[in-house]
Amino acid sequence: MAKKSVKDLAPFRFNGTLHKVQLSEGESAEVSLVLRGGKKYRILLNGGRASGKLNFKIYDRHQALVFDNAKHDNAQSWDFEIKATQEYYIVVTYPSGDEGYNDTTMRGCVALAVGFLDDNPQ
Amino acid sequence: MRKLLYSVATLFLVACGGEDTKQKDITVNVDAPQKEEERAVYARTLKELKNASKVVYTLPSPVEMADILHETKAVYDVAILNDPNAIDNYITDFKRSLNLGVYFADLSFTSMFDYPQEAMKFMGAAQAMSDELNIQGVFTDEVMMRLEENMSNKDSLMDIVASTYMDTDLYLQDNERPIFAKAILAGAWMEGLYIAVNLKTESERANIIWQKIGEQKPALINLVKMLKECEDKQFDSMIAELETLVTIFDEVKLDYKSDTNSTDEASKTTTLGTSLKVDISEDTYKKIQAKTTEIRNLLTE
Repeated sequence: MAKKSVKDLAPFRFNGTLHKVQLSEGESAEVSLVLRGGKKYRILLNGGRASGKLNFKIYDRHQALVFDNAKHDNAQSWDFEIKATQEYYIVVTYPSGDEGYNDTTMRGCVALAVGFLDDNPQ
Repeated sequence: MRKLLYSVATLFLVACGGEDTKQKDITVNVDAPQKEEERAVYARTLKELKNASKVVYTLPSPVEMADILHETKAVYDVAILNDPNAIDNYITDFKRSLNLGVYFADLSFTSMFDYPQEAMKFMGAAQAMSDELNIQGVFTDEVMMRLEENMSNKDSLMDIVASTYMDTDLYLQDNERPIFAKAILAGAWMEGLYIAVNLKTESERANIIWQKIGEQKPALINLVKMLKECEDKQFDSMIAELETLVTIFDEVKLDYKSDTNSTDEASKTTTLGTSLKVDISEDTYKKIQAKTTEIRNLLTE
């Protein structure tokens, strides 16, 4: 999962930190991340069999919602141009059982990878 | 500015292992949501954050720190980096972990700033330290061979550094040694900040570096939170030193101005339009420089 996540970031440069967390269905994890001004980032999720159904939302330092992948066909990868360095909170939610799963309780590992480009100098 | 402080009970699993129940304090600006729509978003946000049962604090990796400083066009003296032959000075696994982080940062900076010979030395030091820590499957013969083959290719070199840094972190997490994983992250970030405060540049460009250093304020706060969450006595003295550094960083004013965000569906890109003015005086910079150097030297002594 780790190697695939890093590979899928291309052509963005992997920043070296892969965030991995075990989640049960409906459960969320929050990743506090500082993104730098003048950079373009790619944020990518890999959730094994839950891939394609993971929700991720991004909040700014005022806890205001700035992105929700539910509004973009549940995209598991999205790019962000950051104008100013600041802390963002990424909340990743594992799909619930009523979202197409009817087997035993879902639980799995979710990996979040971040890559950056230099094409947007400050 | 009025602020509402609330606590959320969280399970903190990934960063420090074990399912310890933690209190997460979140400061929320309650002046902002004046309109009904904004208040609704605010309420949803609170609910969302309360539902996040696991919290991960992150720091800029050494690859990112090197990139930040490389774009300032400043230079540094390789002599300020840690001694790649000092491995035997570190007796405990905790100290070894901190300095493996330091070596990762030195490796990143020498790779990014085109010092391939030095980069090889630091890769060797990281490999030796990794062996001391019994970290397996990271600095393999194949990886070392790829490194030698790509010494003149900065992009490939940085990819190898990022990959070995990730593999080291994952190995320690997977083998239930999260304290050492956190020590590596802490050592790497401190070394990056130490190099940043000791960069050399023309006086008229110094302010650019000071601003980059000032922008590290949220990362420093994250580091302190991350180490406190570990509840490990080995971090106590470092946390105390870092809290002193936080009080100095409090003199740095980060003035954000919100602007419109926009999304281009075709390119799957969202632009987050906030602007930032970093207000940092020369006096504050010098205090940060002195304290950072002191903490870093405590790590590497």
